[in-house]
Amino acid sequence: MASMEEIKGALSLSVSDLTRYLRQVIESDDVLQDVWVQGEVSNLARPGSGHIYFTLKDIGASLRCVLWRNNAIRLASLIKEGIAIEVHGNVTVYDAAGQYQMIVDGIRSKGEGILYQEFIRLKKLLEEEGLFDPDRKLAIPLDANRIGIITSLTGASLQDVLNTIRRRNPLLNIFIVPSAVQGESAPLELISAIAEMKVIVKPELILIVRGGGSIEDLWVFNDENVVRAIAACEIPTITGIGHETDFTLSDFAADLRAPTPTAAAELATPKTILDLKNDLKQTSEVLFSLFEQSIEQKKDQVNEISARLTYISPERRIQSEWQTMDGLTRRLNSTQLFHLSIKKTRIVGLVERLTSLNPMDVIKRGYAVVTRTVDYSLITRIGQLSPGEDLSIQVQDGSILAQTTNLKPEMG
Amino acid sequence: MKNRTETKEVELLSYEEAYKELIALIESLESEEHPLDENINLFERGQELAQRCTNLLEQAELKVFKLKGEQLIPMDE
Repeated sequence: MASMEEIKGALSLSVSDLTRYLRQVIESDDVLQDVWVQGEVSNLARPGSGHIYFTLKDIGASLRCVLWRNNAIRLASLIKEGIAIEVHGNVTVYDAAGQYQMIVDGIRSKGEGILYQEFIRLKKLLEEEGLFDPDRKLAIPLDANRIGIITSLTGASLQDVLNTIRRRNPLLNIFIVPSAVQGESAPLELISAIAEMKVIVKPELILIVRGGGSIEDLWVFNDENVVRAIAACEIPTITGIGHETDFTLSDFAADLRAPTPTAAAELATPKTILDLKNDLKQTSEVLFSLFEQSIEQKKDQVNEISARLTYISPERRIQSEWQTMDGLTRRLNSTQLFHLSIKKTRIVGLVERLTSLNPMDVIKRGYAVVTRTVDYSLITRIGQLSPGEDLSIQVQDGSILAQTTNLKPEMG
Repeated sequence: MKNRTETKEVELLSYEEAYKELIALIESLESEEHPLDENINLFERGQELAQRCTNLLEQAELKVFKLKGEQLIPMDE
């Protein structure tokens, strides 16, 4: 291997020699051996070895960083994808890849990364313009039938959105206007997709969705012109960009922010097919009961009218006369009965008295009545008779014919 | 009932149209009094509308279109 002296005099260097030379130049520079660098973490990798690899980025450049395991144990919790941090360490060269990199031995969180500062600046500007005012927000229709979707045809989020809508309400019509959702062309494509929605598709609701990604991937949704186009859109707009923790300025400009594409699809379909079926069932029941009610009402009206008719009809008058007559008859009858019963009581008394005088009663007790056959005169004394006279002796069940033979007066 | 669309065949109505008409019909039944025969006609129309809605719900299949140039074309997923 060539020495530094040899390298300086050589006509041609091996790649290894050049790389080693570079490394020595870098590693002997005081600034590069003890430096703080600020940027945003991306491409964070934590392989099983325990070392941590990541890229520190800002708008203009990126820096590969390594955090060896001995430091990683201490600092790992401070580092997350997408956050802005300041790292301390020394810059070196990774020979095999021909890349310079920073060996990190210290991390401090930097509250506001550069992208975040830009985000804050633009947010403040647009906020002051009133672009995010709540009273600018359009109401999300509850029963939109035509739903527009702006997204990439290749992303998984489109399928997520379609599956969610299909599951919740397959009655809908979906209109997709494809657009890149990351990269340089994305802002212009998004803006023209919004315009096409307004001019050609004319849906009742627009979803702008994109799956999760790094802060750089989502950055297009912080593009000032995209944000303005969303804010100016006269059709209600729901954004579903990245994950729950991702907030873009497009989210603030939209009429409603959903945490994810799937959530956007759910918010776009507040009524599911199950809700529709239930609504329809209830509505049918209302229809039925209304119809029955109206028929009942008509019946009631007819009943009321016919009751009034009956009231004023001559039939009722006649019935009333009948009733009066019946009353009188009843009174007459009861007077009659009273008198009759008095008379009847009297007769019964007389009959009883008469019965007690009936001679047959005496005969029944064993007495006999004797009469002269010739003239039926009643014989009560001896003196009325002489011997040889025909007599009739009456007992309770017949009479006996007899002749007087011996007359014997009772000796007093 | 005003704005009646009885001339339109029930079978040609979309779910939203049918449901909207059904609601309007019910509101009319609720708020106004109709002659008996009209009442019966409205009820029958209402039943047809409800049936149409049920059928559409049973048969529903998501329709997906894609904008290509200036035309919306059905999309194969």
